[in-house]
Amino acid sequence: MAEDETILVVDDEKVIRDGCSLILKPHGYRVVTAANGQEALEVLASQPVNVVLCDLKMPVMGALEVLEEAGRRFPDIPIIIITGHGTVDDAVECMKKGAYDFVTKPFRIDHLTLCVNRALEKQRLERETRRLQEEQARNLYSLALEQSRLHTIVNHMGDGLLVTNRDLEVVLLNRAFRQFLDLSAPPPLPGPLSAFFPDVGLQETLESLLSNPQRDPEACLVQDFCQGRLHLRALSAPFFGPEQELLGTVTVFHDVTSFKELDRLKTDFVNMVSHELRSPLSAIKMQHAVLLEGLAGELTGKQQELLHRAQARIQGLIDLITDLLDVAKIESGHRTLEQVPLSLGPVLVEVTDLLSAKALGQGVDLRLVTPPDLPPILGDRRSMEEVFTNLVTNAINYSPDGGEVKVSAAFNGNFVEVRVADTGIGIEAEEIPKIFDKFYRIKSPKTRQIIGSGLGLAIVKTIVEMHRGRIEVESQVGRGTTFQVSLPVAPPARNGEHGET
Amino acid sequence: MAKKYILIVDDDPDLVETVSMLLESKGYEVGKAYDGIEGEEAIKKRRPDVLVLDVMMPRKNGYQLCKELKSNKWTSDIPIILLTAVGDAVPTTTYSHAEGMSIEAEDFLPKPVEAQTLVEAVERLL
Repeated sequence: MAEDETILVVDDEKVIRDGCSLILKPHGYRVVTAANGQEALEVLASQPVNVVLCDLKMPVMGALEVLEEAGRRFPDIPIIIITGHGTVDDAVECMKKGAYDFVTKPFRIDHLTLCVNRALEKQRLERETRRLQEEQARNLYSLALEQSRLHTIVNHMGDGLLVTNRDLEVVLLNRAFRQFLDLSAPPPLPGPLSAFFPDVGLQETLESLLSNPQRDPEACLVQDFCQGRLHLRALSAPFFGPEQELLGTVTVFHDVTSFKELDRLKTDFVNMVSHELRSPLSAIKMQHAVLLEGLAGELTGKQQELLHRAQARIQGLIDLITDLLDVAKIESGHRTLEQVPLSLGPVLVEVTDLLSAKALGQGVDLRLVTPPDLPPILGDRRSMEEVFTNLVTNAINYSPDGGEVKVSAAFNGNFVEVRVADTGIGIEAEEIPKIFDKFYRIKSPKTRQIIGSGLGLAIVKTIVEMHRGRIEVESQVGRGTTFQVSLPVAPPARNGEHGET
Repeated sequence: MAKKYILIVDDDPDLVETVSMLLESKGYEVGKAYDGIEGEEAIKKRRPDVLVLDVMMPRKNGYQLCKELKSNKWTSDIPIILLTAVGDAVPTTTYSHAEGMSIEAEDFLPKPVEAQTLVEAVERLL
């Protein structure tokens, strides 16, 4: 045992020093010796020593002085006094001065080793105790530090904070929350949630969190509340103890009032502008219609042609404004997409029916192939109509020499795939990455006659992605283009889920 | 047989002129008014067979006039086409959608309206 433990034997008699060495070394101790107190102190100062065995009476410096000096400089080294029978009283005196124990000469081997072992054990225990005390002090300090830091963070953050326990009692809230809720004198903690937050919507959300907690640490429920003139966005999540036991909920309230206000101003502005632009344009278009009907006198062929062209351009402008309005709505999150089970078959039938006249007019053979058992997707009908109207209109427009536009739907694993394939002019490979950019339009002699806003595909892509779907495109110049939209199939039944993550 | 009389009430003179040219070309007689009050007076002078009524107008808006006409037993059976831009184009404070939904008009056409669509709507009500 105890390979590293060093015993210092201090005695003026070499016999005793050697004797002690002989006894202790077989027990695995390292033994160093000194002939008097002075030497002993030098040894203690130069190397680590665990226990000192010290003769009572020595020349130069005796045990009493060693005790005094070592007790001051090396307080945690136990000193055992070696003493003759006649000097037991002196040994007792030494004990009073701090010696750990004494052995009497001539000593028994087992007594000496027992005594040394006990001294070592005592030292070990003392050191362990001291270590634990220091550790505890450190822990208490860092705990207090952490608490104080957390307290300051919680109280100075701009977001409101509300913590409840498992029984939905409020146990913690911060200054921002009190300000948001106008709680100048908040009810005592812990208290029922309703006393702190009047909207029962939050109560219901937290109840659902507690009854059906998400273990995913990223997951949280998002809810908007209107509190007086404030708009608050609440993010709620459950929290767990070290054993993964559910302890309660944390809700952070973000003040989105100014954002909502800006959003409203932007929407109003966009709406006003679009109205002010659309009304005169439609009046101009109507005037052209009157001219074309010959109500203001007969027109020459040239005049008719010019008016027709002008009308198409005006319609293009009206469409552009409609698209701009759409983009603004989507980007401001103003356009809320429904997420209801929706069968794409009827949507595609409607879209192709609506565009059949246009296709016919351009000599395009528009065909629809859809299986009867297509599973539903989760989606917004109006948006889906918009997506496929855009894609089919493009397919027709970019087939200036006629040809075929084939719309087909298929079920592939977890996705419904709709393909819109044309035999039109195709897209150059280097143009493909750019076609979904806003206002991007392919300029070539073949596309010169095609009127469009450059927003259609950007809107399509945004809508598809909002439905967690994806859109892909394949094209060969001169052969045609195929757009494929993949949309996730609606899960069979969704219950207990009414939030977003 | 006397010509059918259509009254158009809209504060956009271009729209009024154009629509009336179109309708006149179809053989109807057309009256013109440029806000709700003028519209009211025109109706008092001559009862229209169809009333084309814009919603957003100064002095008296289309909703108000429509409501008044429908609640008066002498005028409640005049067919009304409301030109609504209200759905998406206007801040909803003055012309609320809910108000529009509660209005009893015979037809609603969203603005901007196509000439052909308007003519067809008028002819459906004659």
